[in-house]
Amino acid sequence: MALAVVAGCSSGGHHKPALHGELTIGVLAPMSGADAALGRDLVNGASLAAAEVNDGSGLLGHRVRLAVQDDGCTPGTATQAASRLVQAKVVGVVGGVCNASTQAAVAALAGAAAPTLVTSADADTLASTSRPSTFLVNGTVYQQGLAALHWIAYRSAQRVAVVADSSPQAAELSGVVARGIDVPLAFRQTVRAGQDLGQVATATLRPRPDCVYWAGSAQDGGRLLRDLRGMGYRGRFMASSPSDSPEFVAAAGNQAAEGAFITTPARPDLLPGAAKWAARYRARYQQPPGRAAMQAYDAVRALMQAVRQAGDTAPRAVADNLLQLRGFTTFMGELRFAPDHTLSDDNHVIATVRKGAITLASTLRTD
Amino acid sequence: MSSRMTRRITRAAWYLTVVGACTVGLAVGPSMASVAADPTSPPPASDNSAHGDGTLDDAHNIPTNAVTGDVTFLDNVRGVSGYSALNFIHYEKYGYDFMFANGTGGLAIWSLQDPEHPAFIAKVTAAQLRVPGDTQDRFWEGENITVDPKRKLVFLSRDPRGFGGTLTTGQSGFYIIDVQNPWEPRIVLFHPVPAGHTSTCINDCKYIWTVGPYSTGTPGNDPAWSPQPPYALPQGGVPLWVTDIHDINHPFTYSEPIDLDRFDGQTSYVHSVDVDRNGVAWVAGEGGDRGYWTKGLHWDPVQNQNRVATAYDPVPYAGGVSSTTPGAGDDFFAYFDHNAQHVTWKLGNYPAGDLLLITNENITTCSKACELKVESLDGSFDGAGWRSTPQDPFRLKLVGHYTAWGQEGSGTTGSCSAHWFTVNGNIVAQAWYAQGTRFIDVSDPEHPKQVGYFRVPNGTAGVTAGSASAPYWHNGLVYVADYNRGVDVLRFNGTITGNPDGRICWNSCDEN
Repeated sequence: MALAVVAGCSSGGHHKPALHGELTIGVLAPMSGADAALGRDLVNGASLAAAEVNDGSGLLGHRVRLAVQDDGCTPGTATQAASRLVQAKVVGVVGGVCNASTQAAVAALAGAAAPTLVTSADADTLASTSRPSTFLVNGTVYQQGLAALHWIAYRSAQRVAVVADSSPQAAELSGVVARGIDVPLAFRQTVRAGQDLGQVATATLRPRPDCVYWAGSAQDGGRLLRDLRGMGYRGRFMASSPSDSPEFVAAAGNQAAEGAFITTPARPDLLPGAAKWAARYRARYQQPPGRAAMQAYDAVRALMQAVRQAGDTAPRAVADNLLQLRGFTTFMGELRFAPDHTLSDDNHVIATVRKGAITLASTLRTD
Repeated sequence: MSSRMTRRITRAAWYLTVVGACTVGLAVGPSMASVAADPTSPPPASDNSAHGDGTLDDAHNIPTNAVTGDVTFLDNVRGVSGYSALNFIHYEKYGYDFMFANGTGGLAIWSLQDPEHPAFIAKVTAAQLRVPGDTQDRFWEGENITVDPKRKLVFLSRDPRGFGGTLTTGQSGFYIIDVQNPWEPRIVLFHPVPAGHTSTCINDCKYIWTVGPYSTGTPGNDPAWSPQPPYALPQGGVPLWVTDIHDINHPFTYSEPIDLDRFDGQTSYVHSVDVDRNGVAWVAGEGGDRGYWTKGLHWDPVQNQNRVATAYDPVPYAGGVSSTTPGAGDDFFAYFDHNAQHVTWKLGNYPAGDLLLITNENITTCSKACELKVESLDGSFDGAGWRSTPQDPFRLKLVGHYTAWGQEGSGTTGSCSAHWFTVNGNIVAQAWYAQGTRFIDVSDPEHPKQVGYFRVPNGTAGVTAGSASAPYWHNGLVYVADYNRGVDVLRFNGTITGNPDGRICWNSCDEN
C-alpha cells in the first residue's frame, strides 16, 4: 500500500522564516472500511497541527510533513503499515483508533523505538513498560473507571448501585467502580443479553441506592434509566462512555435523561476552550472536528514539542522529552504523561444531559 | 557511567525535568555510588561509629555548649541539610526502623538499627527534585512529612516558595518517593496541587490532604480566598486540597477543596492536618482548629444527618476558632494556629476528648512570641465552629498556655515561637526555634509546666547553633528536626507522666 503524504499547507500572506528540509511524522488511521470517517477526522486533525507549525517557524527549522498509512483497523494491516512507517524513518507516529490494530502497530513500532502517541484507542494494555516509546493521549478504560469514581465522590453519594452489561469493557468499568468506592456498595449486577431491564431496575432499587452507575451500551443504559425513573427513583444516574450518544437520550426519553451524568473522553464540542480551534478546522475541512481530530491534533503538537525540547529527533531523546513536557497544554489543560506513559490527568470529562442535549458538567481538573 | 549508576537514575527521576535529568547524573552519581549496600542482599550490619558499609558519609556536630535540663544528648546527624520534619517507617524484613527527614537539601534517610546513633544510608537531593521552571536547587520545606508505612512511600510537600519560586510563581504539590528499598529511594513523580507546605496521609494513606500558604503558581485557587496583599489581614489564604493516591501513578486532586469558610465564614490559610488516636483529622490554620471524621458513619452536626464520612467529603466533628492568649493582639499571627493535637484521654479535670493542644506561631522576639495553648472543645460538638460569623462569633475556651520566655534554660535573644510538637503520656516535646526543644508536662492543663529543655546557643566555635523545628517521641527517644543542625537525638531523663509510650500521634500517627 502506497505511503500517502500530506504536507501542511501554508496559509500564506505573511512573512515567515524559510524552512529547510523536512521532518516526517507518521500517521496511522483507518482510511478504508467502516471506520474511514474516523480516520479522515484523525488525519485532518494531524494535518492541521502540521500546517500550523509550517505556517510558523517549522520544527527545528524544518517543514513538517505527514506520512499517512491506512491501518484498516485490523492487526495484520496495522503491522504492515507500521513497518512501512519505520522504513520511512519517521520522527514519530501518531494515531490508532481500534484497540486490536493499535496493539499490533505499537508492537511493530516498539522494535524501532519510534515514539508513538496513541490517539484514540483506549486499551489498558497499550501502555507497557516493555514499550518505553509508546504513549497514550486518550484515557484508558481503567482511567474512565477512575473518572466515574471521582465524580460519584464529588456528588457525595452514600449508597451506590453498579449495573453493567456483559461486554468486557463494562465488566472492567463496573469492577473498578465497585472496588473503588469508599461508601457502601448497595447493589451490583451484570445484565445478561435480553434480560428484562424492568426487573433489573426493581432489583437495583431494592437496597435504596442514591446513585446508580451503568456501564454498557447506550440503548440499555437509556432504558434502565427510563425504568428507574418510572419506578420513582430520584437519585443520581451515571453512565459510561457509550452513552455519550443521542441514542442514550432517545432510549431514556428527555424527561428521564435530564440530569444524567456520563463519563466520556473529551470532544471538541464539549470544551468551550476548543471553539476557536473548531472554527479553524471547520473553515479548512468544511466539517466540524470530531474527537479523533482533536486527539490527533494534540498528539502531533505534543510530539513536536518533545522534538523541540530535545533539539533532536533521536527516538530516545524524543521519548525522554515526552515524559517531561514543559507547560504543554491542550483544551483540557496541561498535558503530562504518568510514569506508565498513560496520561497523568486523563481526558475523561463528565457530561450531563440538559433538555435533551449532552453538555459538559466538569473537566475534573483543578486547573 | 556504570550500569549500576544507570539503574539508580530511575525513569521517574528523569521524568521530572531535562535539567533535573542532567543534574541527577552529575549530582547523584558520586554520592549514590558510595552506597555500598546491594538492595537484593541482606541489609548490612550498620557500623554506626565508623559509618562503614551501607552508609554515606555524615557529619556529627557535638553541642559542647548545649544548655540542658533533664535531657541527655546522644548524637547529631546532618545528612543533606537542616530539616523541618521527620518521620519513621518500620521494615519487617530488616527488623528495625528507618528515619526520613526533609529540608532544603532534599530527603535524607537513616537506618535506626542503632536508635541512638542513626546511620545515614541514602538521599534524594534537591537537584533531583527540580521540575521544569525551577531556578534553584532548594527544596522548601515539607513540614510535617508524611509516610505510608505499608506501601513504603514518603511524600514530600512542596511549598511554592521552594526552588526559587514565590507565592505567585512557584509550583506547589507533593512528591511521591518509593522507599521500598530505603537504600535506593526512587522518585515516582511530582504531583501538582494548588497548595503545598504540609501534607498528611488520610485513611491508611489512600488519600493525602495538602495545605499551605496563599499561592497561585499552580492554578486552582479562587482569588477571593486570597489576602490582598498576602497576610496583611487576619483572614485569607487557601483551603485544604484532597488527592486520591490509591494509584500512585495517577494521583487525582479533587477540584473542590474542603475546610472552606474556616475563620468566621472566611476561607483562610490552612497550615497543618494531624490525625488523632480516634481517627479524627484535625485541621489547623488561620482561624483555629476543626476536626473531621474521614470514614465511617457519623452524625453530621452541620447537615443534621447521619452520613458516611469520606476523605473528600468528611463529616465535621468539633472545633472552631481558638481564643487568643493574653497580649497576642488581633493580627494574622494572633489567630494562626500552626498545628493541633487532640487530647483523646482524660487530662486533669477535663474528660477524654475535651482538650486540644495547639501551637500558635509567630516568630518574633521571645517576649512577644506565640505560645503552646490548651483549649477546650466544650460547646463545639454541635457544629458551632462551622456556623461562626463575625457578628456572632464562636470561640474555643483557653484553658492554659505556655511560653519559653523567662523559663529555665531560655536565652534572651534569638528567634522564638512555639512550633511542632509530639506528645508522650502527658509530656509535650515542643520545638521553639532558637529556644530549642522544651519538655512540658500538661498533666494540669491549666498550668502547663516545663520539665526539661535542650538548647544549642550560638557563639561557640565549631558548634552549629540550633533552630528547632520539630521533635518526635519515638521508641523512648526524642529525635529533633532542626533547621540548622540536622537531627539531634535526645533522651528525656525526667518522669513521663500519664500513660507513656502509647501510640504517638502527629500527622497520620506513628504506626511503627
